[in-house]
Amino acid sequence: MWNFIIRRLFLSVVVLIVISFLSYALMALMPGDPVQEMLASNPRMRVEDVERLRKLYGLDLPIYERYYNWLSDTLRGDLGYSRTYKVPVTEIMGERIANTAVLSVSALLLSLLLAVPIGIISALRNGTRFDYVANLISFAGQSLPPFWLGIMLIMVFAEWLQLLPAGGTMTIGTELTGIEFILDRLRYISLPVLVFTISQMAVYVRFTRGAMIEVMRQDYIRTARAKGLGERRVVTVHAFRNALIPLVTIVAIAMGNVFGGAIITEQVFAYQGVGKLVYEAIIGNDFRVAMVAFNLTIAAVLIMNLIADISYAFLDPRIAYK
Amino acid sequence: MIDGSEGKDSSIMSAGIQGTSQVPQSAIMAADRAEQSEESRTLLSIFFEQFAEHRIARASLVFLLVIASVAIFAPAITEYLLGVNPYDQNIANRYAQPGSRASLPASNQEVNIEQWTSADPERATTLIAAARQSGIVTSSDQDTDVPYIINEKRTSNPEVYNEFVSTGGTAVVGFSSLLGSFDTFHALGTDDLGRDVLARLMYGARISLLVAALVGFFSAVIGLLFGATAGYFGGLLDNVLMRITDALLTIPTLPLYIILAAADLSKVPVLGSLLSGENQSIIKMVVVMASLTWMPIARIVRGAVLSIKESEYVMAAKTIGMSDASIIIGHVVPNAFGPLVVAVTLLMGDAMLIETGLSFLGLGIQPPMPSWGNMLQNAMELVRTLPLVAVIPGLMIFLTIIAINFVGDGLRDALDPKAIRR
Repeated sequence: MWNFIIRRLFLSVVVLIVISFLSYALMALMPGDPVQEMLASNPRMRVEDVERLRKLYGLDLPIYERYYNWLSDTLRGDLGYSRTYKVPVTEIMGERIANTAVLSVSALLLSLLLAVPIGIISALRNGTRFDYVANLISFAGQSLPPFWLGIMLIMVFAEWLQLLPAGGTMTIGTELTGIEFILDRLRYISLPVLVFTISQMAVYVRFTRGAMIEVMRQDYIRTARAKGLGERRVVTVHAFRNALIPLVTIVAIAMGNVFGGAIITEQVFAYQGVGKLVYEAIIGNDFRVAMVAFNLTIAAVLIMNLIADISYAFLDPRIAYK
Repeated sequence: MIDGSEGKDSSIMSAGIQGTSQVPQSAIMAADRAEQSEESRTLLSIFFEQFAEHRIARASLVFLLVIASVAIFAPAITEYLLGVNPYDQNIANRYAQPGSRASLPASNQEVNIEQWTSADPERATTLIAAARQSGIVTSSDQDTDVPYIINEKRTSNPEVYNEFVSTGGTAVVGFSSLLGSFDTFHALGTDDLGRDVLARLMYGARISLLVAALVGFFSAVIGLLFGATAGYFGGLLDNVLMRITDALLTIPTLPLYIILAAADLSKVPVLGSLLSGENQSIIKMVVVMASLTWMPIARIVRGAVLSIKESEYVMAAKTIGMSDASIIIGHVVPNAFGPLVVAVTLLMGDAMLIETGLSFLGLGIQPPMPSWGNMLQNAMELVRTLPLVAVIPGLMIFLTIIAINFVGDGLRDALDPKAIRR
């Protein structure tokens, strides 16, 4: 078991290093390094100045050396400055992480609250009209482009009904406190949460249904029924608890996607989260911010994948890891 | 969201399913029944019949065929039936309502006529001679003014103009079709540059379907190579290839797509030569997506290879001296064909979701080339001015992807050997 965990941990670290190096190299391929931008804003710069500046910032070094410098800076806690916002990267990240966490976690909870019961009922009534409709809805949810769903919700709720704001994180220029602050945030977050919920619900419905059907076929369910337990008890205690095992891992993986999953949703609603930050930093060539936000997104996924694997082993003693 | 959570499901499910691969009783009984029935039937006919029984899948297939044929014939349809072009801009006619008519501003009309006459002076001379003969212009008119006068007569005196066109030769007909293109009908309105939305929708279908199909094809090829090599040769090679596959499966794809799409890949040595010309953004999308979507296919193929590799007929093939490559292609791949087809179909749906999402963000297919995704780039403005145009491209994406998924579902049912019912 420990052997397995250490091996997986090792693999995750290797993957993270490879990806961060790749992303570093790719971002170096993007048009416009800092010195080029300086040159654009100050045409009187001489060739010697350009060379001196490139040396000063270490841009003349080979890519792996630059990556090594960046990595050692980052590991020492020096995340650098944002080119766009002119403040340390750490100052931007905090609020963005909080915003995205609120969005993703509430969408995850909401979608589980809806999807798990639907999945269970659908499995128990396998082949009925309910199952058919649930299946159809889950197919639809899986096929919906999230950005278009967002546009449609904005059209209905913001343009036509004028109920909710079309985008943003909170009302700008107001100093709200207490309950008013929460209500204001709620108005802005409800449409993004709805989009994110609908687009991930389908997977959970399908997964819960599949796991439940698999479990209900097991011998121990027959045994539980044979010894005279009520159907309710069979389903909740004997079946659902076992069906939860694969579901836990799926939720752990979804938790890993907490930063990266909402990029498009945040972009559509101009919601100030990590996803939008990743996108804007990459597009705006804000190198330091992009590296931190991107690798944070990846690291979250890798860590949660690891936790998913480990929890799977703990929850299901039949699985033996070599 | 649109990243690869699908792939992660399957990795866990396959861990749960291992060890339950014995042939179910029902399948053996079904096989017995098949032997007893009088007529023998090919597997293909059974497959078609079972696919046809899945009514939604059948309807989805028909829908996809219709969309695909519109996409294939889009240039002909837009040019001859609609008389519009997806790239022609008309700034004077931005955000026109659906079902509206528009004409090019007079100055643009003159520029176009000027271009037509100077492009082929001989053609212009023929036109002027024909005009003088028919009497649509008076003898006092200058030669250089004749084409403009004809254009003016088109609106001021349609009867004379129509008669002139009906009697004229090829030069006249060519000129009249140029004049005809000044007046356009926009069934679905126009976009922010005054381009016809319906024409762009049809061309967008071309691009979006092409990207999805190419991604499906190339990731099938890569997955097949990886999976078959790993499964067939086993040992260290298998271990290395499968660790690479596992590592790629754990990566969240959407942020990576954004970085790859934003990076200037033409600076990469080998890729650079591929990425040139007007189709650059299509090739880039296909390369980027195919290189990150093949992993589930590699796993499926590897699994199939592992189960077949020890069978008698592979051993027989080896004894008669078949090479490894032809054993893999001739015996191993056909056995993995069913699951492979299903996986590739579903993958094409995902590819379309990713492509349209990235194009929406401005990172995928680059304008002026239309894609169903980049048609929605300025959707926030469309929501206010032309709601219908904000709805339709997305609806097409949705319907197409759901149809692809249903076809995949139907194929899964029909190709599953355990589910053969007769």
